[in-house]
Amino acid sequence: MSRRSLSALLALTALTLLLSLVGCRPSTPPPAAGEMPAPPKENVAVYAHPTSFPDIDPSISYSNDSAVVSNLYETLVWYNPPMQPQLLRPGLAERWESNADATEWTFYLRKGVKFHDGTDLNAQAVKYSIERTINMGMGASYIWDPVEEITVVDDFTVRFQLKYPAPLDLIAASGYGSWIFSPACVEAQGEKASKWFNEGHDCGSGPYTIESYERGRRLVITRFDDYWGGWKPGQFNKVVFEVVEDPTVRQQMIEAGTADVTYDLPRENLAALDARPDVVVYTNPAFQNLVGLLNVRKPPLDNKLVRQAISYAFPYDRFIQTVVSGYAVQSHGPVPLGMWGHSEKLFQYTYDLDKARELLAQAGYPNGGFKLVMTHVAGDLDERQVGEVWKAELAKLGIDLEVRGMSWEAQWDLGKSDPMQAQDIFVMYWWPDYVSPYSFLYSMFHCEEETLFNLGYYCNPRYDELIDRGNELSGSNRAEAERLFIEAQQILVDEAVSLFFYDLVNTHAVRADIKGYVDNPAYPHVVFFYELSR
Amino acid sequence: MKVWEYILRRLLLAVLVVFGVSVVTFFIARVVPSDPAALWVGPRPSPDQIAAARVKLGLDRPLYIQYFYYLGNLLRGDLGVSIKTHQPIVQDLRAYLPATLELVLVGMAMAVFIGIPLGVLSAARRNRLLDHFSRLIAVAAVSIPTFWLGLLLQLIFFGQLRWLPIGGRVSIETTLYQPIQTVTGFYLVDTLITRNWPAFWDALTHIILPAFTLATYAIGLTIRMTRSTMVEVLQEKYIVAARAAGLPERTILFRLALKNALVPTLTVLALSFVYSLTGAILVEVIFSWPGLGSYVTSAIINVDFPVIIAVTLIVTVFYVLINLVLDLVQVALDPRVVLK
Repeated sequence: MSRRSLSALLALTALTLLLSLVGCRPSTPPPAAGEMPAPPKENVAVYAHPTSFPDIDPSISYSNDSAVVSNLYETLVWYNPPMQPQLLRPGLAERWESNADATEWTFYLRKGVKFHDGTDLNAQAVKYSIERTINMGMGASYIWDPVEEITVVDDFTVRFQLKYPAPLDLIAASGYGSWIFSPACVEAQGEKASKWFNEGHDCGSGPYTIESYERGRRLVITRFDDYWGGWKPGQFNKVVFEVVEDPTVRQQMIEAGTADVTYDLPRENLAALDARPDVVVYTNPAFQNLVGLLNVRKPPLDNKLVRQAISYAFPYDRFIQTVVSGYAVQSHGPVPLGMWGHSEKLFQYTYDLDKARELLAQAGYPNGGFKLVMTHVAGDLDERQVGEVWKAELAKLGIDLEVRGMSWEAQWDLGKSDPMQAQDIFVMYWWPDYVSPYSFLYSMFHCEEETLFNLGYYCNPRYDELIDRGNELSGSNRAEAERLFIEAQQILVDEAVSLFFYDLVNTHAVRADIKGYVDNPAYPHVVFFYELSR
Repeated sequence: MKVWEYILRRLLLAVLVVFGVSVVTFFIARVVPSDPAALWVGPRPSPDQIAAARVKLGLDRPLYIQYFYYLGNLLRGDLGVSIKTHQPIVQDLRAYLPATLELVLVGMAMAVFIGIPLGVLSAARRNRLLDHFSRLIAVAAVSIPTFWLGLLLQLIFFGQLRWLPIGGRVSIETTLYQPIQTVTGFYLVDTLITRNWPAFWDALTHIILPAFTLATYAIGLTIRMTRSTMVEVLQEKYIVAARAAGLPERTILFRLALKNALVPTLTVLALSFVYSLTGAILVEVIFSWPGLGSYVTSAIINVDFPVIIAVTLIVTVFYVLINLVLDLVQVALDPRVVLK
């Protein structure tokens, strides 16, 4: 830096200091002579978001970035929020059908849809989008694994030929890897498309398009005038995604009205926040749960009786009421509340130390006398407290639980190593890529040759058969698929292959003057701003 | 020895230091248990995706070969690509480094303009009311936890008084209606150059609280250092002589005494400047300031090794340069110091 600019900076700083010392009111600057008058106040919504957006390339986005991407792009099909009569609703496809065994799917596209670059949506664009995602092989591209071939039947009809039966309608409704974009727009950027997206551009057909982007700080989207859904008064012209990492600051912003929507606030403050007349706290099921996968290969947890005993030793109700302030629900098996495939009829282990002692005695450990290692992600306070509370209870049974906080990378590495050397209990959260019970049931409990996410190493051919069949039927006979998924879950619960601690609840704080807010856990923490108004 | 020879030699040594740091950080970052290929793909990588990413990122090659590739890119000014965000690190740094530098520079300037005068006056009025008061401030400034002070300032100046914004570099209105044209990345400078007065004012109001929060520790330190060295210097005979000659007190304090008392204070300030480059993380998080601290912290959590190495190298370069400048300043201030 040159001497002159340094002294300029110093001068500036002195000025700063002076202002802060005299305590003038800098928030209302005097208008300078000849200055342009400020444009009329637009209808702008502000989303105070706790994280930045790692990658907003629609073929790669597989994280918190979906909060932005979901307002720029659209999928063929949308998954409905819970409690609606239909599971799915039309998106860019007006309707769709499959053959009897769900190996061939045809989507009939909406007409008159324009992408932000002015080109029209057609079958070719759908084929191009999905193929780009598959070929890049990033993010959630694997959800398209069943696809053998995509055929353009005519301008507005596209057909997917599958290698094996799969619920392609659910896959097409995924919030990750299922976005449709303009081929001309992407091709114009060539090799550099991915970088170009992340500099703050998009190629979608959604209601909004990116106006400006300061990485890690602020992203502004503005209304796309030619959106096929049209615009009504009161809808937002612009939406600002403001990255605000500190929860207390987000809370202050929502209270002051400088933010309209936010989430991930201190739980103990939510009740007081909801009591305010100007803020509403929405509480809904999240399609996410906390599990503790038990290492079924290594003694003593290779013994079903021991697994059942420790399942009886966790104070589910007390933990949920006190530690998480009631913002969770004890799980019924691995498929969380509000999702299809969830059953309230599944058995729940309760806190019952007498029962646990009885089972331990039957298993040959009347006074416990063994040690277990539980791993979890170090920064996660809830996971740590699960461990601490459980440790105290297990100590009463003579079992010594070591609660080991690690980085996710290290925890996962240990989990993928030799099961005989690995942890006894692997605590983690699970959420679905596309909304199917199979995501939970397959990833965490299906036999694996090489360990990936089945970190309790459970393997049961009968169970695999049930869920594989269920997955095949998910596209053609969802009722029967659901029955099979629930039957399979009963096996997991009976065998106590995991602790199902609780299903999470999403809380979103929204300014009271905002109308139309509905949380949709299929798209976690996504706010569809087109549906809102003020 | 001539000054430029000295500088050249120090710079050559600096190259060696940077090279050494690059070797050490590269290997440490890669020995930590992690799977960069899995991180590259996303949160739920399939084995096929991981295998493909491993080849794409060159992680299937031996570690020392990977290092040589890395070094080759580094020499061309390419710091690599973030494993987590897939974006070129140089591009990220262009956004985050000026933000942090601006914040830290303004903070350090506050430390200089508040800390040094208070320290000088405190020494001059030793054991009187002003001295007690400024020593109290110094102790408080050093011991108040940054995050607590930051939240407190937000509560008062945003929550209660609404005088200053709660965080960020500029307000949403500025982004929407008076967008800043980026020239240097320093918003105060950019808005001045482009004569974007409303945005300049806005950026100024945004930097006050975070810079002050960041500066408190340095202010406390500066007061203490300046006071104690000034107390010593004020007992020197040349000061007595100056007093006897009837020179005005202000000249004695700020021209004659301060010059000799300044070197230790500057050293402390310079070190705390470099420390703040990545150490300002708490301030950056509380004030939603998109700087280097939060950038590297998330990289460390994710074991995003190219980012960790890049930031370490940048900070190393700053350390080396600041030390060099400091040595030159010492020479300028104190003729007894000789370049070797």
